[in-house]
Amino acid sequence: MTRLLSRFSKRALVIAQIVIVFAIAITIALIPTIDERSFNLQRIAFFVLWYAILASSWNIIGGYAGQISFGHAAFLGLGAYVTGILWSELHWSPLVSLPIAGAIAAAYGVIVGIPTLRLRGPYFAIATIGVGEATRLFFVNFDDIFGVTLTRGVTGLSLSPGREEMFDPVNVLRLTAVVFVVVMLATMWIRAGRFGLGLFAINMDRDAAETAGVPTARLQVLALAVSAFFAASAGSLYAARQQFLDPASMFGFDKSIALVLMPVVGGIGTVWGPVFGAILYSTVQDQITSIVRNPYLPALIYGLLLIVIVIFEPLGIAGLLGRSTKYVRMLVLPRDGEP
Amino acid sequence: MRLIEALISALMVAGLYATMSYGLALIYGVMKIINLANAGSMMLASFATFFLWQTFGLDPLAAVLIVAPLFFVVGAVIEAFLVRRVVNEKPVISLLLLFGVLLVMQAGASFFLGGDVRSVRPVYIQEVVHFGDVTLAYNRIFVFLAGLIILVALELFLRNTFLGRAIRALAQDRDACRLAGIDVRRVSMIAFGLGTALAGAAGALLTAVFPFDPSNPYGVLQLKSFTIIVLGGLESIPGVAAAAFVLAAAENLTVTLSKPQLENLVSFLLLVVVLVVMPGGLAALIRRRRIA
Amino acid sequence: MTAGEPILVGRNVTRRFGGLVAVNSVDFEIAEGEIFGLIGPNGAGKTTLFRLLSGVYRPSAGSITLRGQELGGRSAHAINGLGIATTHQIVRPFTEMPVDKNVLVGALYGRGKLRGRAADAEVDRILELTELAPHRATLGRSLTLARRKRLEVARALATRPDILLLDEVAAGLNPTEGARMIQLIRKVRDSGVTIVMVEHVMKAIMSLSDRIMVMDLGRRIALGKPAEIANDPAVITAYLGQQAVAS
Repeated sequence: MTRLLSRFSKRALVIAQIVIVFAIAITIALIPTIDERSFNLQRIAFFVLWYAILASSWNIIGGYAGQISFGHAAFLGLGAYVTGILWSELHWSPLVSLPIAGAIAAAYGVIVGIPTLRLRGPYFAIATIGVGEATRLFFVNFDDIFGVTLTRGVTGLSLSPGREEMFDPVNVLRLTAVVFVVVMLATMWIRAGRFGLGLFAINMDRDAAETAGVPTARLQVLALAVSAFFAASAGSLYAARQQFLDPASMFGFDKSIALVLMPVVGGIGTVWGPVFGAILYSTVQDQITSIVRNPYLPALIYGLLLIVIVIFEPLGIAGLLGRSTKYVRMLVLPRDGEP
Repeated sequence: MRLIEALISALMVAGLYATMSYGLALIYGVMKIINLANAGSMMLASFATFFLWQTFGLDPLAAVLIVAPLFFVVGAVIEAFLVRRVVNEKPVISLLLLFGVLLVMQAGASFFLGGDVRSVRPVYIQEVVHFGDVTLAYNRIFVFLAGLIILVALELFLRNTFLGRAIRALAQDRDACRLAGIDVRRVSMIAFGLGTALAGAAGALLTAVFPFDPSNPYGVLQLKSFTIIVLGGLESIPGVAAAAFVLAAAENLTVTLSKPQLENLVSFLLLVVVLVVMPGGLAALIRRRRIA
Repeated sequence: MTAGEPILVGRNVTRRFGGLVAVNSVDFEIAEGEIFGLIGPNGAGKTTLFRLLSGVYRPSAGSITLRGQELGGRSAHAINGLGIATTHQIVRPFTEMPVDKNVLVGALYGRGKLRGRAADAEVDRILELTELAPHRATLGRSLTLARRKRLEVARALATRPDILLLDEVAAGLNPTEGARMIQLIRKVRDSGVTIVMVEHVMKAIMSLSDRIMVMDLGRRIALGKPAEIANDPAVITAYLGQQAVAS
């Protein structure tokens, strides 16, 4: 009887989570309709969703598979630039170029992942630092290397949106909400299913997983590809909204830092952790920097948070929440392999 | 001739790169932890050196003697209060922890000290010396010599003192050390302190060669030191020296023979290539030759 | 139970690590349905041979064939796909997963390629077989050693192997737990799985094995029924001082 009950309550929790995701997305998508002039709120809403998408994408390779990537901005920037270039050269709408950017980034993830994901311990993390920086330098020097004017190097690529509807911030916000739903559902599905279980097994003990029949190399590369796809789609959204891209901001190490911070602080390896981390991060970026006029204060806060979390509560905000009632724990901190 | 000048110049830079990387190699060897905060220590040390120069007119090379012991203490404190707790966990945990420390160091320093580009100008900064057709700057020579002295001192310490040998033993087998009566915790703390001190020394020496820009705190150099220790074989001090030269030479050749902007790209590509193709680095290559 | 046709054959199997030859030209033929024991003093190369069989290591020379198919060079998960599952000498449960999820990994990724309810049913069946059902919700890291060992066996079984490699599965168990493990191994063999086991616990291996191969310093020094092995002078010499073999 208790097993039947627990199966029912598990199903209820899954449904509850799906409902919450849709509720968030729909609410945010409706903001411009409710109040046309709420530009600031729309901006905040965009960035919260945007950071959530990024953090969730990182979580797939860093949280589920356990391979920390310090260079994830490479995929973000790649997606942004693909969208930017496809618009400035071919006038393709971001709606069209978003999946293309994702696919290209996924391919890049596979190329980078096949040799590097074999590495043990901290070596993959170090390799990602190298890849992230190499990608940045590649884009900075792209035009020089190939003798073209595509990326416009350090000066940056400015997109003149003209009358393209997809560049209207309201539409971008709606598209972002859609992408958010897709990413959240995807991560929930991964975590609950066979793919996620395999990733967690690799995370715990790669050799044991291998002897239990898990094709570890293939699964890890796939995780990186999926992660890259979603990160790149966030890049596309950024290009559509900000309409200006430069290598320093797209590929900057500070972006890669943020990408690590959010999921780790929020709750590495959980579904909602990255969302908590995204909310925290955008709050700090937005609110604290307007109160205290020092651009380095956020970094100080994040550094201290990281230290505290690693030592005291490895599952971050999700872990803290999980210490409360049973149902909150089941929602926020399911055991590995469970939805 | 250009080639020779490039190689000699590479040698000078290599000395600096090597000093930057010894600390990383040492800490990894003993604790199997990648000290991401290495660059942070270097940066803080540069700040300290600049402060000493500005306030007391102290030459950076002399400042090393103050800065290095200071950072030994910093490192020991970090180990005792933070790193020790995560030494036995998965490597990613210590990576994240030290990443947090790095952020705190970078942010903390910039926060308190502001963001202008500073320059240390020791007396001899403009002077150069000529060897035949080759021109060398005095400051680079001194920094190279300092790096050489540090290398020799480090090797002597590791081979001839009890503490040094204890550190090497710990690098080989922690459990055997416990059984042999070595105080693993104390030696670990000292090793971490020593590694941080080396980073501090590097930071001080760096100010004698490059203008110091707090808003770009050595991120690129940190990556170069990763490349170096990976190329050198992660735990081997002589390997670091050799790898530093290889990297400096590769960079210099790239700058001289092709586009200057690709200088940094070379180091990152080298990092990735080495990790994938030769994870044991140069040291493993040499070891394999010796056995076979 | 009489053994069937040879299923796992090794010819001239060799593995070098730099200058050290851990496994030196070893030949063997393991018959379907038998319990094949592997013993030898420490450093004899038993675990290395095991790792060659499970795909963790590749042979430096020689060949290992499973029903005629060459194994050498395949990855561990590919070999698992061909029908060989292994446990580990130092137990390696998935620490942050509960017992049933541990076994589920094997069921989902093993040869059965089970899904959904079928996978859950298989997990239940194996948990019953290995007497782990009462602990199905316990996390891997919270298990006692005996239960971890049974979990290793369970997870390996979930991959539906034809051959199960047991690496010192009785080590560290008290007599009661050891007897339970012996019973489990017999049940597994009776279900049609060929078993290859490395052991130091002589009581276990002598009572279970149909045949035993003895290794020393990388070479095979004896192969035969337990009674023959026990009296083989070469084996006694290799074990110099181990009275248990002679008795």
